[in-house]
Amino acid sequence: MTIDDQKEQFSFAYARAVAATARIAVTEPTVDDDSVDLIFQQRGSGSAFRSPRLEAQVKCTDAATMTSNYIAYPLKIKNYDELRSADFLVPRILLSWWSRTV
Amino acid sequence: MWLLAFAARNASDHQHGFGDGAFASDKAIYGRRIADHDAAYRYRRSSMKATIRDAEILRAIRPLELVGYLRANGWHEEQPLERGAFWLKESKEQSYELLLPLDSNLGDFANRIAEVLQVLERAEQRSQLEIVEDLMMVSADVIRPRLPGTGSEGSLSLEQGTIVYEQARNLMLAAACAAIERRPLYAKRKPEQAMQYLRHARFGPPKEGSYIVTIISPVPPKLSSAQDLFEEESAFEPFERRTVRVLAEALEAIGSAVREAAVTGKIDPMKAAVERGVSANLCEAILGLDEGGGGKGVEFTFSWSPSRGIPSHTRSPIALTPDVMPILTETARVFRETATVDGSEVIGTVQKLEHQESERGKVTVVGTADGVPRAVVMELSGEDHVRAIHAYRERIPVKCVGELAREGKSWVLRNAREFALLREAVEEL
Repeated sequence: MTIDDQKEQFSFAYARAVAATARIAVTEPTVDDDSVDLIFQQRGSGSAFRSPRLEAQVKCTDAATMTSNYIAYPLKIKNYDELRSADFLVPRILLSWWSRTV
Repeated sequence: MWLLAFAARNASDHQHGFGDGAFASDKAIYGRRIADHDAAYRYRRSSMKATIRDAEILRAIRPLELVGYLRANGWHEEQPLERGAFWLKESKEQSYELLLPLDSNLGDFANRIAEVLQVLERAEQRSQLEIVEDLMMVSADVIRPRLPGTGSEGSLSLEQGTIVYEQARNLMLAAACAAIERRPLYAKRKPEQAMQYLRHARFGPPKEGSYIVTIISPVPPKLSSAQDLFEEESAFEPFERRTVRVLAEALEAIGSAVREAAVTGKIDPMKAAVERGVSANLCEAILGLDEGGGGKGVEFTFSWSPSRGIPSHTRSPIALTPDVMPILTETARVFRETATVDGSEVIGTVQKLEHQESERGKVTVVGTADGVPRAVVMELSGEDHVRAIHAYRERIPVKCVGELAREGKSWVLRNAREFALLREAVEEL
């Protein structure tokens, strides 16, 4: 297992753990999609929105630059465009883990 | 630390559930074959749990077809969104909800459709493959002739299959002709609109159980504000829908007319049924299906496209049992004898000329009329008569068109025209 594999598995596990605690179901997309790694869904919430959904791309990077206001790191243009596009029924977010190798 | 323990417990729960699923589907596959033996039209095809992951197939599904499918299966729209909607299906035991994408250009269309299929799979307890197949047929009427005489193997011999599929085609052709004009007999040359129909309608994959042919007749959807469940006799009915409706009415008319004919011993009820779309061609197609299907009768099931509603006064299924067949044979024979068919084609050789020397005369051609072996007498004059004499002397086969009618003991071709010699037939000699 490479360092990158470890980072990937860890970031997925972390996202699932947080979601599970919040009683949100997590699935992976049926059709291979470069820009979506996980789908979060809360079933039948009874609120204004039925079964709210959110899709996420998960990234774990150690190439980030941190300032007091933001975290900056490089992202492929294709992924960037697909994340910020409004052309989806279910909105997408980017989950980013910043790791530091010790 | 507690977080990891929590995650581990959830993982083992998930595995347990998966094991149950695999066992259940094995049982379903083997149990199904026995149950299917006499299943009329509720077919449980493979219980194979296949999740469709092919983006191409998913993207090819049309949202409006899904809408029609959902409505026809008890779902209703619960909350509209900008490019999609939430749909709900409520029953006593369980409620189901899905998010339907309505714009196939959406970037996440494929995955949303995949989710819809997953929900439908759970809600209907059948495979995604079956559901997608049915989706493809939402904008079509589906006719399924079932042949009980073929056993439960779900296969036909090559010989049987050829007969069955040809007769299924003839069945739809007869219905299309009747949709244009009701006649007891249609000539070999069929109207262009009927031939066009044969190019639109399709054979789908056969269903399992005793052999079931699947005929798909596409129907353009009706655009109206209210979705009526039962279709009124609307002024405009697409030709394809009219063809299938006429077929359903004709088959039902056969069912009742045959009983009456058997009781009274008269052919009159069958003649009256011509008004409902019955013809010699239709009878012969049914006879062919029965013969190719093992001689145990034919059962027709109709699935009407939900986009057009169910036509009133039709029934499904309609079973034509083997005892019906002899009456259909007699009906076809009588209709062929007594009907005057325009545009009949006669092919054969000139065997007799009444007046070899004069300008005109009676000519007898022995061969076939609309494919049926006959000796036909016709009156020819001028050029045509000259050609006939030549054909008689040189023994060259001929072709001719006209109105075929029975006169006493002979067959007569009235208004004979397009008399031509088939020289290619003798070129090799």
